Amino acid sequence: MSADDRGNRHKTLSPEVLPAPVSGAALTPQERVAERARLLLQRYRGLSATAGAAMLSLQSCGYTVVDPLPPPPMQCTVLSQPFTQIAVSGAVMTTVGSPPPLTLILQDHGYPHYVGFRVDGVRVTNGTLVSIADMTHPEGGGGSLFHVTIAPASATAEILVDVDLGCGAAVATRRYRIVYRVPATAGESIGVEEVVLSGDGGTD
Amino acid sequence: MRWIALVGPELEENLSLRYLAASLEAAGFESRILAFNSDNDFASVLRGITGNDEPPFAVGLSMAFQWRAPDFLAMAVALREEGYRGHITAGGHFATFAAEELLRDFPALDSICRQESEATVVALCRALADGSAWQDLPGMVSRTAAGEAHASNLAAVPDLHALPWPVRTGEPARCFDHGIAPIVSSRGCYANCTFCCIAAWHEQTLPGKRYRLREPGDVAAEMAAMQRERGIEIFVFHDDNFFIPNHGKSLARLNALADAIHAEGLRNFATVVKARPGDVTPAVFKVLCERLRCIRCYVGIETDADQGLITLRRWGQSSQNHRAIDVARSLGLFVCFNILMFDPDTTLDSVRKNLDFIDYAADYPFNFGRVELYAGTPLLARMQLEGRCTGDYLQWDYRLRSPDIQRFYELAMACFLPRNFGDDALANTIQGMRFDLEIVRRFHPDVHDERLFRAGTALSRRLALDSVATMRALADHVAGSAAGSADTALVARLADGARAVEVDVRAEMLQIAGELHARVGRGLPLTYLGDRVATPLQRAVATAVSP
Repeated sequence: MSADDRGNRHKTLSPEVLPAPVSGAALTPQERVAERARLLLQRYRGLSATAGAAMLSLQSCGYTVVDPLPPPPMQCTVLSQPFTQIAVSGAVMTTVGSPPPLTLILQDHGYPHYVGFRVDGVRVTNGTLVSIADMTHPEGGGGSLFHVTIAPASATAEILVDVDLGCGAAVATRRYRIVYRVPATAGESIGVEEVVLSGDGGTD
Repeated sequence: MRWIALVGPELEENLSLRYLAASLEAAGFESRILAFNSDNDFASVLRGITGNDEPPFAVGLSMAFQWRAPDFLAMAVALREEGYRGHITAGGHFATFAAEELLRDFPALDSICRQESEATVVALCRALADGSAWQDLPGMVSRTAAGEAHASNLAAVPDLHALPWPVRTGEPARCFDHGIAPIVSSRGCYANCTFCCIAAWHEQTLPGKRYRLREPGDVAAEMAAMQRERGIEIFVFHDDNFFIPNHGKSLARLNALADAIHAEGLRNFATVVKARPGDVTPAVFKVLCERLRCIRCYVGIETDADQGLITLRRWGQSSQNHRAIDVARSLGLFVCFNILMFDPDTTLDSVRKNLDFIDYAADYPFNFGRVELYAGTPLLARMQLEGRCTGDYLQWDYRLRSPDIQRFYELAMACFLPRNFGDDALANTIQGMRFDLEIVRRFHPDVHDERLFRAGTALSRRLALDSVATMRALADHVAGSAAGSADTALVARLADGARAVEVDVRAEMLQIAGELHARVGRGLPLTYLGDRVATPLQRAVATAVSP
């Protein structure tokens, strides 16, 4: 028996964690799982050579690493296609508001982490931009994290969000579609889908 | 090469998978554990199976945690999409209780292995290797031609003494370079709480008793081997409950284990255990601290409200919770706990009672949340009977008893989500700092600094009291006013205050960890590690990903 390397990099003494409360979802179990598989597979198949190599190379070093601290974040400018590192998700963090605001979460995924990303601008259709918070923490193995808070135009709005991303001299615009629904409880996730732009999406 | 992929969370050494791996190894099968802790591991797991020159002939998915079931089901779907044609089975608490629904809804799965599956998995792999029928093997659930689930009889529960020790490959976790590894000396818990899927699981195979013990000598021998072969010094007992329901017998068992450890020659070690409040007596815990060198005990307080104690069937009283804290204080033992602040019957009074308890125990780290409805539990059955469940078997939801308490819960979550459940949730990571302090006190007394130790305790106390104050402000607000725009303003103000406190506390926590690091001069503190890696277990909310 051999063990996977990546797992060993992470080992710790986990606290007896409580799961975050969740609310029931509108889709059936099959639909939810299919959607999750589709998104994960899409990311898997779309991995750039650089990102794929980074993940694979990590596999070969795990169990020999005595110090399990994740590697320090690297500057995104070393990547040939930096914006493939950015994953997006959505959540409605509060049930307060009419309708409550949603948060678009942009963060780098995988290891090592990369920093140096920027959100240069955000344009919203069917909603109003409330704030852009850069919560990137470069220390302690950190990573890139942006919270874009949006007030939906209505409780059932289909919202389009154009995000201008930057990394050094490279820039790119990403468009996301969000079908908003008022959450039953705070913290509920909300589906975010990237819309492929037909024109030149940027320099990456 | 004919091998089996075992896919599951591996934040700590996953003993359920490692016990399976050991039994497979004893039967002549090679297995590999593929860690699937988060989305970040998805690609490596998929590639490790489908990209392998010789893919495994079977894949086992560890579905113990209900909230992570969608991840593992998505993995099964993705494996099929990528062309994997081998057998995919799943096991664990959730898979056992939801076997029928899973096989009905997810054709990517071929089977479910119910309950403790060391023998079942070996028998399944033998049958697959031989090309013989596996559907009626004990413990198996299969799909009929009509697409319905067919469950064979449960397998006999394994004899814990006869099981091979779990596989221990790889580098262990470390705190200041002291090796940490989990171990179990028993399976199950004598209690039968309504919300607990562990109790429900063991009730299915051993009704009325629900727990089995290993021989102390066997446990000590395994500990000695772990220290000898891997340098483990900190043994984390992941027993569902380290204790048995009789103080005299608990005391005798602890002494027997201590004797056996001594006979094995272990001298420099520490232990971490879990207990119910009623297990905490001065006599038992004196032995636990002095002879078994316990440095942290998770005490399952869960609730201090009379209503909660009944709803959750805790078989205990508030006085036992308080006594557990008193005993820990008198022994200088570091404990931590969770409070299930919101349950289906919670009232404002029960919330206030729990806040009073946290206030009483504020020198110990804690977290709080809502009781979730897990497959197989009596509480889920009750809520279904009452027609109060929404959602489905992958994700049950419910509303609290009264509109006021539901409103309170929502306001509380709006204030506390980052602290209790977010990335780097401080309520959890501060436990790492407290653990670091205990490690230094136990293993490095020469650099132990009582001033720093008190500062760490004061820091977690500050966070606890801030949580209590914020929750009391919310409770007063809900009790004194109807829902309205004032809710928004209050949440904004309280959340701002909470975030500001967290920034301060986190900075001071890292400063303490840094000072400990400098004093010890080896390895890294858990504060740094937990900061990154303890999060995925908390993220019950499914996360969408972009390409």
